[in-house]
Amino acid sequence: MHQLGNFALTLAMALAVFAVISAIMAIRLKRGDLLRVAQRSVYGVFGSVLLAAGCLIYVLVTDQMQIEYVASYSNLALSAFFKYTFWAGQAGSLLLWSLLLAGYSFAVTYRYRNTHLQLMPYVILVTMATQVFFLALNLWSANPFNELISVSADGSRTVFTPVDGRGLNPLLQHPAMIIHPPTLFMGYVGFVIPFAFAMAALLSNQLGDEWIKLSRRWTLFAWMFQTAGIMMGGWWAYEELGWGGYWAWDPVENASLMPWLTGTAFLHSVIIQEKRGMFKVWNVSLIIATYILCIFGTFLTRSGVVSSVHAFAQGSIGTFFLSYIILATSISVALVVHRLPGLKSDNKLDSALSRESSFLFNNLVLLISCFSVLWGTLFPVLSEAVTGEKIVVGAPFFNKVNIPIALFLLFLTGAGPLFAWRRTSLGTLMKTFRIPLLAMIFGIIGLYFAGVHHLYGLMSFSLALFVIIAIFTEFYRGTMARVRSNAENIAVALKNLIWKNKRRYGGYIVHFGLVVIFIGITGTIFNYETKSQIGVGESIDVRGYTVVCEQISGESNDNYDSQFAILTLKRNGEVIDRLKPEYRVYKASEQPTTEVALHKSLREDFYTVFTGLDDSGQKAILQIYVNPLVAWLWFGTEIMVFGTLICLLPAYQEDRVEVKLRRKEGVAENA
Amino acid sequence: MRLSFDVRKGLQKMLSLLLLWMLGTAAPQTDVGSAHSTKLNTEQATLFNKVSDGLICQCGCNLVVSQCGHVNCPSAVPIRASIETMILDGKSETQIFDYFMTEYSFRGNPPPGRSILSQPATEGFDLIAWIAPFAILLVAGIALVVIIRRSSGKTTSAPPGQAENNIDSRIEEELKQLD
Repeated sequence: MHQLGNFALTLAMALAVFAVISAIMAIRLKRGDLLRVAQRSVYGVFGSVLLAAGCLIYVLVTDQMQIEYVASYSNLALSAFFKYTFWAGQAGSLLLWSLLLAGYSFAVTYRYRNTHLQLMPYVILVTMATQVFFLALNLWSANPFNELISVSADGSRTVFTPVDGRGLNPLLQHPAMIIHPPTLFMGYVGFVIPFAFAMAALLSNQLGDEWIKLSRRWTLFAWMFQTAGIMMGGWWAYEELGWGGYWAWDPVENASLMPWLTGTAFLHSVIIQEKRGMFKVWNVSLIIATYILCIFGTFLTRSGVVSSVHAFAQGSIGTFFLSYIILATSISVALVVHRLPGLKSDNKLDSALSRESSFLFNNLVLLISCFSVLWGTLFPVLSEAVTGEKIVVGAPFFNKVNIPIALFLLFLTGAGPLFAWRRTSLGTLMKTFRIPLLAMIFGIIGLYFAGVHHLYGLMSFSLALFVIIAIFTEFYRGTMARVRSNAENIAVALKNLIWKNKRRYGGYIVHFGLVVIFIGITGTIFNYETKSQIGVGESIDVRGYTVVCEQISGESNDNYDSQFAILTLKRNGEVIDRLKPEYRVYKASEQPTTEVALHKSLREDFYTVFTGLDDSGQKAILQIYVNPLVAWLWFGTEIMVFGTLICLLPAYQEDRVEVKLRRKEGVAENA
Repeated sequence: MRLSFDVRKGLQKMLSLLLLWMLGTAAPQTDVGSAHSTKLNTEQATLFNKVSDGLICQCGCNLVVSQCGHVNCPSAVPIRASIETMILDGKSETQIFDYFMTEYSFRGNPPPGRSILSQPATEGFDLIAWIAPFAILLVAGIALVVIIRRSSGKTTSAPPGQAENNIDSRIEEELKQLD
């Protein structure tokens, strides 16, 4: 089966190269039949990469230990559930990249197979050029189908089949392994499509709004997955790593955040190009930066340039990535410079107090945040090059630099939509800001007297209130306007309000989700942590909870040995949960790990970690965290995804309704 | 309204103080009482938390020593024990940091090393790490304001936004365009 996998990869590579050549020829010779050839090659690439992925799953599920990748990331006792997740190692995750890119390319090519024929050959050219790069890595640098070869004394080479594999990293043996990497990669890879449209516009000199309109949904789709993927990573870290937190500013976490920040900036600034024909150079630059940061993030994980718990083994792959990043950046920048005269804005800013200006500030803050993350991530490399000493840039740095920036961004989230397009007078602005500002001031006073004295806590909660009230006001005014003008009842008016302008009100829902996430993050200020030893029948009190130890025991299976405690959790004398924190030692890797046990609520999480037994072997050592508002993070993410889905729905088709009505009228007249 | 020079200067001073306060205010801090044993009193526990938050674990997890959750971590566990011992011996914060900076120099560089610290120092080359993001924010912010002012100054005759003098009618107007 691995030979078939290799063949499928080689075929995909040949077809991708063929697609690139066909697309170039279709452009040069202006021949539609060559475009069809390129389109079919794209379909073929998807089929071939899908086959390769299927072959990899097959060799994993059937435990073909002679395959180096299987022996490195699986073992006989590994749950079949995890054998389907072929992205645990370098080669497999690159194959996932290739597969998703092939899938996106297939979807975009098929969707526009008969339309936008001036742009599509270029789109195929760019997506397939990226595909060639990733397939080349899979074929020549990180091939998942390589066999283990044993070289004997006389130099003869034979295939070596170990009895068992090294097994999957215990930290990856978590349900999030199934969904987090593909979700995040759907984001990373998805940004290739708007980049391809931007490049197509530049290459074809079609610099109008067509590429913006065509790429909007693809960008939103990728952004939604990037958002969900980042948060899923946090959820995984929280539930699996056992340190009570969800974000550690690890270089690889940072790598996923950076394209999200530039992608968010792009999503906002393209609205101005659509509405006012402005910021054309800026928008093209933003999507180029997002694409480059996606590749850069993949490079960071695989090159060993920075140390990270997420990093794959180092190898020559970093050089390939760096070369590609330099090449892609040079070509993109050269193209933008070449097309500068055609990228002039159609309009100028009318006023400093306008929606356009607020969007510009939003872009500035997002980009500065992105820069500070990039700066902190790469500063150790810079410091080593300059001073000879690698300075560590840990979470304290990122928190101190990014929290003020994030708070400003939170303010803009609420303030931006309150500005009118083109210009807003100071009087109107004061009128619009009055209620949210008053809510914020009362919020600060109330919180202060409620005992919140932490500066950032006060700022974050009160700004959250400001944004929520601002969003609510927009919904209220819009709904009431419909009630007045269309005589609709409030529920119908609200539904129609959202339905007839999904982008705007879907966007507000996304903003609301972001605020909920901010509230969740702010809860960190009130985290509590303690360490205790507890024997069977004993109890401990922690922040209003009582933990009673019912049992301390152990168990063993083919995959791991474990010790665990059965705990009863009480609050106000009532049993609210039973928890089973575990300490495991995986047999294949001999790696110890902890399995966290959690009691979750909207108010706070009660988080227990079993770190082992005391010297007497009779008492469990428990690390306990009480983490307020963590559930708001996951809830806020769901709201953001929901809001994005509303934005993604097709726009209200007024024209379509009118056409139907005219048809009916026509039929009636004819009758 | 034009502000007098002194008022402006005072405002600038207040803004700088606010910025310093914000930077000085510890970012979300955990109320920790756990990483050390129960031998420490409240004051010593606070010092323990401060020091263990200021040191980075050397196991590769990229977490501060107080947060590393690795079971029997070969780095965080002995570092925490050393901090506790030094605090019980009456060592000051500076003395403890100096000890670790001497112990953990980078790739054989002469001590004191800074690779054990969880954040760059606020002096020498490290200062650039702190200044750069805010300097760029300042420069880009000023540039943006100048661009907006210049651009908006050229179009003084531009019509106002959609019925911008009345918020409700603005929304009604926008909704009519949709229906």
